[in-house]
Amino acid sequence: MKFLSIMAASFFLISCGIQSIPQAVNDVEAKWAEVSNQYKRRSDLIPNLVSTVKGYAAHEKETLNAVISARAKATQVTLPASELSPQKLKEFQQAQGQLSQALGKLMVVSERYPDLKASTNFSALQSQLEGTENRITIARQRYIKSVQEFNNLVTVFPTSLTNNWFFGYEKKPQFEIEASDSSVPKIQF
Amino acid sequence: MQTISFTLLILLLGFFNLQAQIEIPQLTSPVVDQADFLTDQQEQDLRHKIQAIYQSSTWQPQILTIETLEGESIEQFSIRVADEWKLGSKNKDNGLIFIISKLERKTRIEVGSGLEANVTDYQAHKIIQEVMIPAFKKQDFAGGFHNALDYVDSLLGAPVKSGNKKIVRLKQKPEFAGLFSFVFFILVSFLFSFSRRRTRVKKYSWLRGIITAALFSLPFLAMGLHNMIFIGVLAVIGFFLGFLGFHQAGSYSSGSYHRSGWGGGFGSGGSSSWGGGGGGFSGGGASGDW
Repeated sequence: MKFLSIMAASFFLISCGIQSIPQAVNDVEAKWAEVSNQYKRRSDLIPNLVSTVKGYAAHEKETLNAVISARAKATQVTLPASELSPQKLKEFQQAQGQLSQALGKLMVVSERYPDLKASTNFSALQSQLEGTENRITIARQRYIKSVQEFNNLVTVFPTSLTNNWFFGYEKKPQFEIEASDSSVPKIQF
Repeated sequence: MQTISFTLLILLLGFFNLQAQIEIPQLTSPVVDQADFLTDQQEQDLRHKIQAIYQSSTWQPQILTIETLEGESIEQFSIRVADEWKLGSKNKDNGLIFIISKLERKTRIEVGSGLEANVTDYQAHKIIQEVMIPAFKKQDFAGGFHNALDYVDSLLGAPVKSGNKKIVRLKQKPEFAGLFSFVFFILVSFLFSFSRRRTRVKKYSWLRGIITAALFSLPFLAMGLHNMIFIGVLAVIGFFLGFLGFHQAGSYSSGSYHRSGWGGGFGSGGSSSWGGGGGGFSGGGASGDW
């Protein structure tokens, strides 16, 4: 009997979340760091992109300015992993979404300039931008998955008990699909 | 009854609908040619070439051809494959996958995160546009892959001379770790069987249990095996062995070779088998239409 109770207690200690909850927190934070990292990478590409497009399509001022101001706004909204909350994530997402839209428009506009499209500089930047957008998508997917696992740990029995007794973490915010993400930029001829 | 089974059917269909992604093929060889783009001879040549690159260079290439993406984007499919196969080593993240689909005529290079500095998105874009697509358009798939492999290899240093090098090199480090933990297990069990003979005092069982638990789990922690559940289970096993004394432990320690062998050999394929070593991908690379 004693043996059995020790056995049960030991296995409970392994499966109770004492380890897995902090691990999940670390994982969410790492995944978030990756997300903001990739958004920053995109933001870093923009000055070069804008100046390259300007060289060939200087009178697309409106579109270019939209990108510049959207980028300025997006870089202002920083969100460290420790401050993740639904409200802040929404703001972050909005700022980045606006930048995505402005960038989408710029890429559509640049289709009209054959010289621009043929330039090495532009195609290098374009492929980097595409790669970075893909990285953002993947980083976001990984964040979503990680948050889902974390939220399961803190809300589902039995690990939810451990969380209440020892840690007291709240659920981490998830990305939402919003209009700016799902809408496809209009192509004008 | 009928309505229930009907509802179940609907639910089931819904479930399968959610799972409508194509299954990721088994990683059996450096060239997984599902869509039969290559003849047996071409496949073998490419396999030798990739093996040679893998052995003598600093990256792990992979070729995958598929019939169709079934509506999924090639980027999505590609990262799923990369996450499943985990090509490249865990520390270097140096895998790289060439993917081509037949129906959609798409192709992609998925670059391991450790290679991104050398094989930039633009480089990958150039390889696709200037090397792969022109060859693929001429139905010269083998040639396209050969040239793409050479191109990437030139970006990463050390060019490959011949594709027929015999592969004998084994991965040294995991083998050593496995041996180390095996010896450790034996040592620990000997130590404790002695102490058991000498003391025979019940009240030390607890202490002995805790110490054995620590000893059992420590070598794995030290090896950097981050599977905490595995280590936890080992610690519990260690605890009970120590607690109960080691008269049954002889059989365990002799059987423990397999266990430690698994722990030590974690992530290492033999020289003949092909597999990923835990390499990570973060979506770098480029895609194109051919």
